[in-house]
Amino acid sequence: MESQTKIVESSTDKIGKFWIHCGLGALVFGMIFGLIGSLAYSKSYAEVLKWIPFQSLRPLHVSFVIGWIFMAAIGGVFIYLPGIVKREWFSVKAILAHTLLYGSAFLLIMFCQFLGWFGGREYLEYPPVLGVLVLGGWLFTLFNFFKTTGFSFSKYPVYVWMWGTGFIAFAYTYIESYLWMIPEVGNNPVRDVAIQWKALGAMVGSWNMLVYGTGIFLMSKIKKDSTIGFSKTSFLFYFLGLTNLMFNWGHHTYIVPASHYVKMISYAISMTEWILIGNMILQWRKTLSKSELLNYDFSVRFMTSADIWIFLNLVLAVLMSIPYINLFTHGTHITVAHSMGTTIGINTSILFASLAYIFRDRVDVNRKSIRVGFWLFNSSLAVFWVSIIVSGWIKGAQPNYPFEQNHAVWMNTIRSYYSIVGLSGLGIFVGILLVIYAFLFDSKANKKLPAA
Amino acid sequence: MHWPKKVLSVLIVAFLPYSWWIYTNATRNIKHSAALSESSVSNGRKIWQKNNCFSCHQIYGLGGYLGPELTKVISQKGVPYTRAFIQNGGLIMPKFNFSEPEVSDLIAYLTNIDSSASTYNKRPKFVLGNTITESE
Repeated sequence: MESQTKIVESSTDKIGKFWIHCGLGALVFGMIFGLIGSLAYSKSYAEVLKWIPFQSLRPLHVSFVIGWIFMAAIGGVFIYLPGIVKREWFSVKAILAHTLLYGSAFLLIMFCQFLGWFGGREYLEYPPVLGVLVLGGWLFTLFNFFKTTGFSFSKYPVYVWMWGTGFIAFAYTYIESYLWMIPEVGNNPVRDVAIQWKALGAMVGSWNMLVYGTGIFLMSKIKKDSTIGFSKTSFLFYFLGLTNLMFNWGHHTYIVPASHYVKMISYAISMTEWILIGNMILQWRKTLSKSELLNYDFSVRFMTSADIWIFLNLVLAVLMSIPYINLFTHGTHITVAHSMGTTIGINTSILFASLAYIFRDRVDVNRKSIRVGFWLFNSSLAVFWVSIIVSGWIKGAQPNYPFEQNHAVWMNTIRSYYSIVGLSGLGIFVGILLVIYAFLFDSKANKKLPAA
Repeated sequence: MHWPKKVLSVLIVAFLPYSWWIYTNATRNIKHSAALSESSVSNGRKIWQKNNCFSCHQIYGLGGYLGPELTKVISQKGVPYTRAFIQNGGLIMPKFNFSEPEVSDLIAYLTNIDSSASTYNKRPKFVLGNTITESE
């Protein structure tokens, strides 16, 4: 069925593109800090850490790459929403206020982390006062989004629901992640770590809502089938995702001595993800055989690669959620493989699909660059992912892990795998640079947004 | 009422009390080391955060992987071993030049975590190519 919605020129397109460009810049810096950080696992670490210590490198890497995901996803929503709801954003000033507040926060966060001024919380390692700027900016867009769409969501496709959910869920989980400042939480290590896992797990779910919503929007546009956004199946998967956002974080806390019911609930919820896996296997062939998808081939290629990464990471996540297996994988690099696989393989691939759609005129004249980049990115990521899993497996399979561990000995056993991780990380970086080149650098490109 | 709205309402109604339960009762019944000064534990946490120790070390599996997991470091390695590492650093860990009270606060913070980690004593052993056995 032909889509009824069209992407129209919107006054917020330029701001959306500005967010996307900043996001791509953040991705490049995030990759550079990640590569430097990987050297800490090799013998040359001592020289590297003289210039910038690991406790600065890691948060810089994390903040930049998470910044990339948020900026590219939100930039896309700024561009896509007016065409879907058939009206401009309620307030351009609110978007500018978010841009200013988030931009200031982002620069200050990087500055503080570079200088070693830390708040010291996992993934939110900057001074807590900067969280006020991040949240303040976010609330502008949250308010603006609902003033633009209204609260009667029944008429909207599932991706508008997902974006709205992502905006609310992030605000909630971000506030939740600062509950440690209340002494009753911060001074109780079990409560503190349980809430921290809950907040961070759901925060990942919140950006997944923004990114996966973008993915479903793209599928609907590319297939020219507006029914995708309104189908029962789409809504069922949205609710499955939301249920997992709310309750699935507990599989990280099997070893935390909180109530047993937390573990039982999250185990039951996490097993529902098998439904997603089963559906993906059934739909895969159908998705790949659609010949009309060739008109948007690079968006489709990135969506297809995201599909494969979703499948691989879901299998890994579901296996990790089985309590007995979790005992061996928790606290090992297998958890890192899962987070890298999802943020790079899934989120980045879907966002690249979105960018290939927005900048498709540029992509059309840079086909060689993006094709080489696509294959280099995915093949390097496959090697990277497997190497991290193997190093995690080696740690988890130690006879006395985590007791009587000799960390230095274990580090020596995985050093060769980490050389592969570093080299494949370099491959991912070069692949990403080629893809970014195709999006941004071509003087012949038509800079106007394409009509669908 | 549109059916997705009903489902969404049910999920929100389930989520809010569930969250409150996590903030309160689900994480209430834990062991603390009564011998420790509360201010010392609290100061230890502040020093931990100020130096971003999570970037290399894990507590309950949360944190970085460059250094060892420290949830049970006090009972596994002992206070003197831990104190020596905090004071002097290691092959990878830098020397932070902590003062003596700061080292004591960090030890108090880690001891408090250690005493709460009752579940860490029941993890099974796994031997490659062999059987899985329970260990205390």
